[in-house]
Amino acid sequence: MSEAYWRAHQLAQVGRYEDAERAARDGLAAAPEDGRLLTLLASVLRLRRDYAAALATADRAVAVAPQLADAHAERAENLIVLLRATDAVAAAGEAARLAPLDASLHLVVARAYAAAREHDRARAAAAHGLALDPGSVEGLLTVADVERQAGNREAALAATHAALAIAPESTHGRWLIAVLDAERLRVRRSMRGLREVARDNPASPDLVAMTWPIRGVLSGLRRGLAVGAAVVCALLIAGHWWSHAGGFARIVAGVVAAVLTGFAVRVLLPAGRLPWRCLALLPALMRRATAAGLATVAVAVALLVGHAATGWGFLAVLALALAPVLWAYSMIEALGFGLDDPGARHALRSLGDEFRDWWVTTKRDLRDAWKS
Amino acid sequence: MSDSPLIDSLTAAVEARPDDLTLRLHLAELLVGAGRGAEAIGHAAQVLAREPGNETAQRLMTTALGGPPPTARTDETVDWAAMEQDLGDIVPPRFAKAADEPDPVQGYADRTFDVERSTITLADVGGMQEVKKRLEVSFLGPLRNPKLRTLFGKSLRGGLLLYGPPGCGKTFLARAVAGEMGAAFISLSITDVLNMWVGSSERNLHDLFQSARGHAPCVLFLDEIDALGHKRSQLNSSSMRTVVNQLLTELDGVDGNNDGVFVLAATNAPWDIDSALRRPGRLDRTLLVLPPDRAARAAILEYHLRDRPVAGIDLGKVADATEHYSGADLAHVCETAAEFAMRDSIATGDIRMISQADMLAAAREVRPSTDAWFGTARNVAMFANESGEYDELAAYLKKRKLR
Repeated sequence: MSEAYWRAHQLAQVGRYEDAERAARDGLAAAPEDGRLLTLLASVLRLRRDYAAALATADRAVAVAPQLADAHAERAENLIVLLRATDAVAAAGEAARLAPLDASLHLVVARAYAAAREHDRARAAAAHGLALDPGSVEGLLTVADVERQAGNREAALAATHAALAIAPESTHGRWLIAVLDAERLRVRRSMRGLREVARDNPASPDLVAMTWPIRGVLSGLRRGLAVGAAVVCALLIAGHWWSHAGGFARIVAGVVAAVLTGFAVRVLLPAGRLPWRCLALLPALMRRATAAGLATVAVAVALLVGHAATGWGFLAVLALALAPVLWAYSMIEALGFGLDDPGARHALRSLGDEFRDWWVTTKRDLRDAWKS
Repeated sequence: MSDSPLIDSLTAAVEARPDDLTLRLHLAELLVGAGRGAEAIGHAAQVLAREPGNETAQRLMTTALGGPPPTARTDETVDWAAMEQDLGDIVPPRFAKAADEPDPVQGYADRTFDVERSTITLADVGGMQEVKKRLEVSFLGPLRNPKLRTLFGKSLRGGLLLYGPPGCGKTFLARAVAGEMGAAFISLSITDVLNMWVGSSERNLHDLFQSARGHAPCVLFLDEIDALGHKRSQLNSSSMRTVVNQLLTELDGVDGNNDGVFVLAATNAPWDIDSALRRPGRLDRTLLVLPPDRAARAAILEYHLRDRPVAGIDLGKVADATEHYSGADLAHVCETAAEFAMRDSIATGDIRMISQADMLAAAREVRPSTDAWFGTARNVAMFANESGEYDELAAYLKKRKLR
């Protein structure tokens, strides 16, 4: 291990990424073909969220040291955050092939498969990694992550608890427990857990996770409203042939409005003020889309209540018409989230570039075909 | 000190010039002659390490280790003891020390640390009256009034942690405190300490503290303390954890008396500091150093414009236009304004001074670099202020409507 590597590694560990990058670059000035140092630099750049530069550095590390498993693994990690899951699987697979007994490399393979939504393979790789190093906190948490993404909450919870038994301070472990609580609608416990994680890491709180009660309610209401309003409208149409359908439509509208309101109260009341305070700190586009979605869903529920009270059919039709608006807001919200993430931003840019290249080629081909 | 002045002076000379093998050999020969073979072994070994074929060194090593002295040359051997007896008083040592040259020392004092005598005082810090007042009350006042301190039973133990956005003068303030106290000033950061060999980083840290103790009264300034004293729960490597442990030990003065050593620390990320460092007796007092106020901004701008051709600049108005700018940002504003004026002069061929319009245009172009820090600080005030340690920060954020 060179002194430059050691120094950069230590500096990165204490969060001095800029100094770590400088130390690594200084080392590379003396030894530009040092694969380990290039790998470390790539990892520092990834931690600085400069994913494109990190990938380029990892590519260089692989080029100068093709037998270095860590370089392939680092490349895979970068490809994962750049949303190139298929390439990530290949890179991680190569890393695991080069060092089959290194447990951490199998965990990278698991993460890559999880990113590619190949859950069974991800679980198998994570289990293999954990088998190689049964006491590994990283291994247990990777298993938990993979199981959670595969929808196996109980298995995820068991793995997280096992990890926390070894490392009770683990931020990711505590975060996972809070998120799993959220998925099981244990609102108060989940918010407390997320708040504790934020307290211990105040410089980088997971604001998006802490707004889950609002976004969760919005997601639930969006679905409930679409189905409920559609049923009400269907009953109104059926009223042309069946005289009692109109009455049923009013009852269903009232019930749907009550259930949606009850669900919102059930989640938002125990969550307290925290999600609302965090909502104000979200990326602007995401925040506005969420706020607009909330306003729209409130209007839609009011319309359903109005229909239940008055029997005016156009109110139910208007409520149904708002459903696609809500879906549009949800897409804008996802876009806002993506634009805030450098990896997703880079992926979007790459997609745009690819589309532009395709269009230029296609246009030229069409022109040539037309001329001939 | 031995009973042989010649050996003593030669030993001193060898320490001063460790690479002079002839001298070392000479000393080893004297030591063997004086029956101090054990001391001679090291010197002979060092010569042999450089020149393995050196016969004299080999012979001396053999003799020093208790082997039979080569009989063939017995007659040629100089009776050093007798000679020393005869000449000890009249032969001067080969290398004389200068009058003010200190004795060769071991440990911290043979290391090169930048021990400064700060000439700046708090009076040189423009504006920032609130910070100066708090420094005076919480730190300098008790230092200057030992009787009052004794009356109130106030200990001098513990240090002061300065925190705030980058580029806002924390280091300058620390130097000013040292100057105010008339104390020596040693600044250290993680890069001064880190060494890859096991135990060396801890030794470096210890030596730095020893150096500060040796130069007491001394202000020891720990820059970027969040790196040196990072939260141990977030560290994976044991080597960095032991550095933090060593820092705690040194702050407690377990290995040495910290009397006269005043520890000031600075950080942009107090939330990353190990909580043990902020316990009473360590860095138990904190001071938020915010971006310069209006008066300080005007003073900083004036300082950065002092050697530049300026005309008609209203510093007050520029200071108004640069609210929330750090000292470094203000330097950048002056630099940019100078660039504007120079560019214009080159384009028109008519050399002109830096004007008020240049300064205001530069202020519009340069954005305050403190915004990112305050973005993080807002999260900290929101999530990590249960104990009230960031009340001052929270109050400022509220005033700026960032919360």
